[in-house]
Amino acid sequence: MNTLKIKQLSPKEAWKRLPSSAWNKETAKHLLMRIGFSALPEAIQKSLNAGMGTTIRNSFADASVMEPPEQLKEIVEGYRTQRQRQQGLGEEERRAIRQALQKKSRETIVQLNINWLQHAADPKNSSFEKWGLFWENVFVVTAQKVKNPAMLYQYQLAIRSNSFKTFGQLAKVISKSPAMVNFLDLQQNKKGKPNENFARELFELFLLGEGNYTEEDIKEAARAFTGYRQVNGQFRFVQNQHDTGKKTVFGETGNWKGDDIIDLALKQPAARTFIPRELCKHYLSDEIIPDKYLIPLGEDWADNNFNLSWLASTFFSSQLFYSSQFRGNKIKSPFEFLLGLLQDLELDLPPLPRSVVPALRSMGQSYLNPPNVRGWAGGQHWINSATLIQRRQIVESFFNPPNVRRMNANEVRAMDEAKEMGKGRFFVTKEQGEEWIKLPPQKRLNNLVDAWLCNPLDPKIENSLLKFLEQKKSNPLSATRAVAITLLQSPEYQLA
Amino acid sequence: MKNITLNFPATRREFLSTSAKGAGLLAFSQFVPGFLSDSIAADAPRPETDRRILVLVQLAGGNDGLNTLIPYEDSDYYRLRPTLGIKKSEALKLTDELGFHSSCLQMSELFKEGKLSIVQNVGYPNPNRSHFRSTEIWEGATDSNEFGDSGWIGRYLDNNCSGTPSLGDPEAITFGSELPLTVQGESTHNLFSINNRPGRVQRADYGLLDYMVGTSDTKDNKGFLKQTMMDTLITEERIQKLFTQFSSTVMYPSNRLGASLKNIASLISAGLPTRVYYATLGGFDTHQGQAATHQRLLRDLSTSLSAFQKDLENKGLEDQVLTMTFSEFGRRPSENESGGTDHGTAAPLFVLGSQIKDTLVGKAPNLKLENNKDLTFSTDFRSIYATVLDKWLECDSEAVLGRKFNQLSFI
Repeated sequence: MNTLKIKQLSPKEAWKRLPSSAWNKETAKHLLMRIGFSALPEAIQKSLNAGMGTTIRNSFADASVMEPPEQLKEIVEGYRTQRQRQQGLGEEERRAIRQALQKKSRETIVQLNINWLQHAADPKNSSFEKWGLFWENVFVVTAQKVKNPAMLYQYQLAIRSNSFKTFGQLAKVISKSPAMVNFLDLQQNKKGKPNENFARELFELFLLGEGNYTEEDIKEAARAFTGYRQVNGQFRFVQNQHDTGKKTVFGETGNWKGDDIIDLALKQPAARTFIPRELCKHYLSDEIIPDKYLIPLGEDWADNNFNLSWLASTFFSSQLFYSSQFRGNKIKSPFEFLLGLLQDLELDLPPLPRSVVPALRSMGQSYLNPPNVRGWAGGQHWINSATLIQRRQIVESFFNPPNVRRMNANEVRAMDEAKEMGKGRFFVTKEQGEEWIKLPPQKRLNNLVDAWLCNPLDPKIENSLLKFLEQKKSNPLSATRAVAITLLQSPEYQLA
Repeated sequence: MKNITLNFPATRREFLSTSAKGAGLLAFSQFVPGFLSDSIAADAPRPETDRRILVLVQLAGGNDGLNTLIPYEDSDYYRLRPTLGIKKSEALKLTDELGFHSSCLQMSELFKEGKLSIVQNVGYPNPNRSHFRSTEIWEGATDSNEFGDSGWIGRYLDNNCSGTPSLGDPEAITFGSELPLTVQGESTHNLFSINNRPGRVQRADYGLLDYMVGTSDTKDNKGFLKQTMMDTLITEERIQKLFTQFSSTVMYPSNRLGASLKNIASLISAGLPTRVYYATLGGFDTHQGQAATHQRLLRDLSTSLSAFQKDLENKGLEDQVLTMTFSEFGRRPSENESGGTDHGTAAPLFVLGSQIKDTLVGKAPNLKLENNKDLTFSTDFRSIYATVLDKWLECDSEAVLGRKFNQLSFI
């Protein structure tokens, strides 16, 4: 990844509040695209009326958290009583009980993908869920290893419940979340036999970054986290497995416990720039923002007790965030692409795990399941011929009714339920097309470009599309459909 | 980060002007057939002429093995299948004990010519009866309690085995609306999936996307996207064009598999260096009214496979291609109350090609079963994969499958 040259702004000016005179259609659009997944004209107008500060606050104000999937209770109960139910049975019967639970767990994780997408697609929740995605890509766990959907659900809830407190509070809560305890082998970390996995990733990937700690710091820190356990999906601190001896971490010696290590790490200078750097990667640019810009933000953030609400509002209202060099040039992740597409077309996600989840996987993403503890690399890594073809196919699929013949009984039921709940707009209908063609070609094209793309089209491209609309006057509906599909499949649409 | 570029010159201007004239992106591929010149230049592991190709045919839904390959001397078969069982007089006799369903006429001829191998009773330990999960097991080539995100062909591509196409050419081409797990590796590959509803040439964007892509000097995201998408469109069009240009004296049947296999033949005969193709025939989930449905499906399978083989032979390509079927499971030996069969376990699998060495492999299933019990497999499907990987694709099967499996004698 390249380090970026920042134009115009000095490091000190960068984080100053954007003057209200600069709050206009372009800056509002940029905010909406980046803080959430889309920027439709009505939403832009609303933001212009409200002003920047209110828009940022409102983006998070009405969010709710995702309801647990129906099957979760059964799974929690299943794990809780598993040992008891297996008692006195033969190996084969015990295996059958174990496998039934594993099967149910996998199905529930697939369902969790659908539920989360439906939740995040609701514009009320979009900004908060994108914020959640950010933290999930810092404090990574993977469904592949954790396997238990109840722990995964609890983990994402813990992130959301603490993501506007202080960074220290968030880190401490996540270090004790059963999913993390399981994922980074804290379960095996005990007095006399420390397991360093969690301590290493805590410093390298969650708090400081490589090169900002020694191997000795890791060894000693691991001892402080001994005794962290999860039992039936609940965190438990097991005192007699905890190493109570003195530990020296970052040059400070004491009878440290896990929380103390997080506090000590936050005193390191690297802690001030680590999260701001990740934040810029998630929201601002696929290229690296130079440290001299991150340092002033980090210092102010540390002075504000690492408060995350302060960090978000400072970041989203800063001059740097709105700098013209960052507009419309960040590659959308598969989630951002799919959720943005649903919002741009004002559609509901078809509740079809068998088609939605593999399509996302072909684009490179599934919920709470990055390839490894580093999380998704993002940017140009999302794009290759296979993922582009998959993105194009998804666009096309939203212009055709779902194929009912290929569905099984469960899927037909899920579709019917969604329709009953008023969430049954699964594809762009002829009526929608007829709305579009009421406008003359030029205006029609401008409207679509304006609603869907971050930047105006190159005039030559615009001309070609316009010519096509004008030539196909005899069948405006199919011509407009083709242009709409083209815009949504275009390279430009992959950018936010 | 792999930036995939095709190996022929295409400036943005040239590209757009040819597009606008309607010649299409593919014009370039005829100036410089990148895939030919390139593999010669770049230390190609083997010459084009004996590049070996694998074609996978998925029979989706779970093919009823017992009514495909009929054990017509086994009274237990008729006990388990009182109404659905295929009568001895109707079966196409292959051996003293086995016959094909009457729909499999062409397959029985191929068997007699020594070009079709039957691997009997193929399955895996602790069988899973969910379509989704069992397909995943077959495609991932894992144990039934093991979960992975990659397929066996994907891992074959990961291992950079000999003869993999150079950068820019599709490493595997699949037919269908989704990319099957089989071809997905741990790392990224140049994979193409083609939706070939027969007769459909028109793109949903009416070719308008051609205006929005192009070569780029800048490495910024927009330039990168325009370039990558152009490369994708060029390859896609090149492939589409090969489909339409292709002429064949063989009549393919007009079903989805026939259309896919015809397209595959066109790509192979054009010298595309792709080594793996994947096509699907669906509808095998015959819970009720099986007799008529299964008869049609087997006819589709048999006529499509034989047209494909004939076509390859007419073009002198038959020694290069091995075709293999698979299905997520066989069906329950006992028929159900609705004139159908429910999800089962093992079933025979078919391998087709001029290089077949042994036409009947593996042990037949034991049908001394109580009502509603399932078959116990005799050949692990991964033995077949291992044989194909080691002997056909010349790739260390252990690296792909994680451990050694018995080699079989079909090739």
